[in-house]
Amino acid sequence: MTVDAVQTTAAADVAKRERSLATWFANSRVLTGRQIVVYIRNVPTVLQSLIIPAVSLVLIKVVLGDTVGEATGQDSLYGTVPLMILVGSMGGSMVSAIRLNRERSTGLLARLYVMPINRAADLTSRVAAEAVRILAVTLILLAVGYAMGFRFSQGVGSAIALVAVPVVFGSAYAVLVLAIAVSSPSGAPLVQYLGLLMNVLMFFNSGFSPIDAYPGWLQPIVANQPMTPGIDLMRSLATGGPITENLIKVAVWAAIFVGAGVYPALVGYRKAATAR
Amino acid sequence: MTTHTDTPGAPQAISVPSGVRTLRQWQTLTSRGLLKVLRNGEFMFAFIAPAFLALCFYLPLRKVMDSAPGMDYGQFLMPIILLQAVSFAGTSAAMRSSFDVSRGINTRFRVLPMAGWVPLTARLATNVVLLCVSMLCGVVACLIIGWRPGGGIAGTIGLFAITLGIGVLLALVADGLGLVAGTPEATSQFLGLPTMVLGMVSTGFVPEERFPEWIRGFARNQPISQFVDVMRVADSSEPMTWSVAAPTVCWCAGLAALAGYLVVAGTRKARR
Repeated sequence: MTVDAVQTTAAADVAKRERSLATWFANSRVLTGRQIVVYIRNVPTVLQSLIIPAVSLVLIKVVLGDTVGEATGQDSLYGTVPLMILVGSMGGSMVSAIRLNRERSTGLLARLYVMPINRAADLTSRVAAEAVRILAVTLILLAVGYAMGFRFSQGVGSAIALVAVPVVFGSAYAVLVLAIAVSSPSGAPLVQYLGLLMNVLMFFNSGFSPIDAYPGWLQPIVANQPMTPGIDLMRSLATGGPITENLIKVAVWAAIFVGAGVYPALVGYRKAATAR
Repeated sequence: MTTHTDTPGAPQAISVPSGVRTLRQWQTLTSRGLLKVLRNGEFMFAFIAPAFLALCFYLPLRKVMDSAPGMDYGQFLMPIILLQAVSFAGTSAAMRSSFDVSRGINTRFRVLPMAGWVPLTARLATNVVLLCVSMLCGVVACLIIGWRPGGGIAGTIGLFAITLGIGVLLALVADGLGLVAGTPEATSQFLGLPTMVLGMVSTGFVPEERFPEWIRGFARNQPISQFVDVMRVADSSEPMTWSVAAPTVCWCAGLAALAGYLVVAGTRKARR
């Protein structure tokens, strides 16, 4: 009887500790390290997620730079670099979505689920790893952009804020993508469709071509789609210009991504880990 | 008196003339390829790929481009959209042949009483059908963004004939590449970056004088730009001259040689 009681309290203790903030933080840190190691060891994926945006950046500048520059009177790099940073940060989340689906089918999620680990830690670790990858791709693209003439004229504070934009925005987007990945059956092409949608977004924003060059009926959509405020905000942070409105729009989009993603992600995660 | 009747099974195979048998094998394999294309939804993608390209460049850039005198961007984009349609058919050809290698179908074909060139020509026939469908889809996409044939009947027929010829050569190269690369992943990596670079840095999207000085030579002389030039001439009232067509003829000869080399290398690899 006493043994039983001791065991029950111990179990209750473990359960309480499992839910505590400290456990969540410690578990997330370990799992984030794991995610990053898994990502880095897959060399072709690393190259693809870092080199393709860099090559696209150079190509868009070389092919369309003069034309768009003439039309706007500003070096087109100030649109293209932010555009490719956002594309790079959003596009890479497909990789982590596919990895999540694979780790579910290999049973890793179920194995983590039966251990005394905080329920949200796996999810946060995936988002945190995404944030690290986004930071890396942002710095690489900024370096490539700098080599072609992209400059910060607004000081160090603005430069740091510029880097923070894709990290926050991309992480919020990653929550949504992970939620979709974990709630869709493995092998479903949902993530690919999301990739196609992102490719469309890549052409219809203020970084690819000036907004007033789009047909009239398309302009409101182009101006308010998720990427355009981010691009304009980053452009302002690099060269100066209005910030508040775009900052609010970016925050709203990020909040929508997270708000739409968190609950389905947690529920889907439990289902994915326990379903047989 | 024949002794063949003594062994069961053999007479049936021998009673059919070998030409007819080969034709049936070819027919079977071709319909296998076409069914696969149908089930993969590639016929649908044959429309999505060029339409996507057409809209994603035409809508954002038309106003910026048309500000240059004498420019009609819908008309200007037409060749590169057709080439994109054709290269989509090529990519899917490469994927199919590499799946045939990686899943061991080619090895199984080799132990069957079937001439070695039957699978090859069957794949070619499948590719040509998909090629025609994607070309048709590409033409529809071009018509939507405002392209109108400008070369008369002869010019338009010439335009499509040139595109089809380039497409068949590309499909052959892609088929051989799939055989040599062996896995679908490696194949898509072989194809991905080069097609992207060649396609973007061509005179298909932007006229040559809008490129930065240092890259104009490359942009002008690389194969895609030369194909685009020939197609534009065929689509206009200008007469086709040898000086316009020569680089394309040379590039096509080069593609044919490459295709021959890859197919031979791929077939030899399968035999090992």
